[in-house]
Amino acid sequence: MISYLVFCSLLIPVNLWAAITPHMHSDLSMRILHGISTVLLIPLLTTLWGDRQQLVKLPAVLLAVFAVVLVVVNSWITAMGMGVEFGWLDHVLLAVSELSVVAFFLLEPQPTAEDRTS
Amino acid sequence: MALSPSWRTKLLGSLQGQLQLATYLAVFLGFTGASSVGLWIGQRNLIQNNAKELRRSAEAIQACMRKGGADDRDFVQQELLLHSSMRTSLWVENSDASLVLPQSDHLEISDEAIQSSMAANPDRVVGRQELIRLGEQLYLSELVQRFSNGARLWISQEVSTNQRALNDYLALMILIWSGCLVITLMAVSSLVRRIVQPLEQLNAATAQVTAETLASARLPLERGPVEVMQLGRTYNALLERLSQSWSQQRQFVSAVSHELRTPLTIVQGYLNRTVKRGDNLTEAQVRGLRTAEEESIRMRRLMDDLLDLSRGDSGKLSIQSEPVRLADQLEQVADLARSTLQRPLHLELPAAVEQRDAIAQADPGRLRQVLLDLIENADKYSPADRPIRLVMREEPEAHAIDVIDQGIGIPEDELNTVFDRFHRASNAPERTGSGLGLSVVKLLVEGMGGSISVCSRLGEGSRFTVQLPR
Repeated sequence: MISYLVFCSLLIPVNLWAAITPHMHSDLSMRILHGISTVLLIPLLTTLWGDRQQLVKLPAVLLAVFAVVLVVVNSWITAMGMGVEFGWLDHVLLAVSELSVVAFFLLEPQPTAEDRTS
Repeated sequence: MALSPSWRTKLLGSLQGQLQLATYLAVFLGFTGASSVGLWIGQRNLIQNNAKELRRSAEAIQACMRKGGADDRDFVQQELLLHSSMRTSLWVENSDASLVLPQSDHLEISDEAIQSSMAANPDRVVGRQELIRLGEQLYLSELVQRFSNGARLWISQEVSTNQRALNDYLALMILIWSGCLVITLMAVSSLVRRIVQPLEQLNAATAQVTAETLASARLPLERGPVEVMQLGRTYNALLERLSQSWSQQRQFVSAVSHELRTPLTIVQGYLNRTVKRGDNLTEAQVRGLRTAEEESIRMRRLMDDLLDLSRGDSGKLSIQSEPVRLADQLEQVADLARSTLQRPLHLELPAAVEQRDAIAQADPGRLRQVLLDLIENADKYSPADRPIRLVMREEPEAHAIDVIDQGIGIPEDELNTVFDRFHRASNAPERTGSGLGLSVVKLLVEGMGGSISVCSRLGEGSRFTVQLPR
């Protein structure tokens, strides 16, 4: 899990760099970046679903919707390739999503023994 | 209680993990901010500088064209050529869509770049800048000016070289950052390990402290941060005070036991003699005196137990070690026990003669005390008429003696603490003992070089096994 979080955190600057320099990366590297960033959101979604009973509803729903939208959009970008309008904005949102993944797993409230047994 | 995953406990629950996380965050945020801002400013400067350069060239051309006449094609071509270079191209798009290019044998103008630049601005918006990628090359183009005769001045500059330089800068930054991150984390890990090491020593030392090692247990801290060294000194001072306190308590118990034992013996003797020789006592008086005698015997045995434990703690417990024929000892113990027990006691000796003649290294007096205590314990916690078995058997490494009862048993989670001082099983009836008997038994057995173990089932009974060296 720590390796996963470190990897997610490394994608934050990478996506920011990609947002700042939209013409410096090739089509293949862009697809790889979007693909990896999308795949890394899946554990967040599965954990949100698995721990839905223990989580505060509103932030969890907002985070889940945000992650689902990004997964759908970036899966499409990964398949279609470069040339998307406001591609820089997508990279900024991906950086935000990776930040939210790290923050969620570090700050997620832990279920208590009472919660597990009840 | 919160149930954190192990990775989270490791990372957020330990001093080492927290410091490593803080270091990672500091390096990570610092570099991410610096690299992103640096890259953004670099990118912006690159584009702005190129745009400024283009505008300066365009303004010079405009000024010259105003002076020399925009209709003179050769003059315009000459002027365009003057400001064009290998990376910068200027051209004029006439109102009839024909182009005036800075043609020269030494200058290659990319038609594709020109066409792409104009295609990127189909509405011919003056001042609009476009970045155009053609293969590996990147061009920055702009429609600079619209003249009164309808002609338009275009300019385009190849910026790929500068982009590549920026790219190299980014790659170098990533390399340096990764190196810094790894080195910093390794350095912090090493530093934190040094800081945490004394705390781990403190933890290990605390885990090993027992009543027996209290006097000798000290935390050997030689190097460490001032705060940790101070904690170590405070801890050692605490151990010293505890050791003194424990020593005084043992001396007190020993002295009190010893002082009480003698008068109790005298009281017991007088009671016994009065009951035996008193010829004018009523039946109720005799019964009362018998009760007083039994209580004085019980109290004296308690004093004996306390005295044994106290001597054991101070290393003054006297235990002999001599060859003992176990079968003889067991027969004597069985006879003694039967004289006081109200239930059957079955003595089971091995059938084989050589096993029956087994010799163990033990103190005969202490061995009898151990077995009588175990039999008394079995009697105390067994329903009436249930027999007690005293079994002698041979094991590969030792001689074993079992005391087996069919009593209330001991809860499984208390089997590990059954030999602790003052421990009484949670299912034991009230007022059935002091909780010292089994701890004295263990002390004596171990003093003879043997060991004792117990297995038990609630409601079915217990088996205490004494193993003695051959």
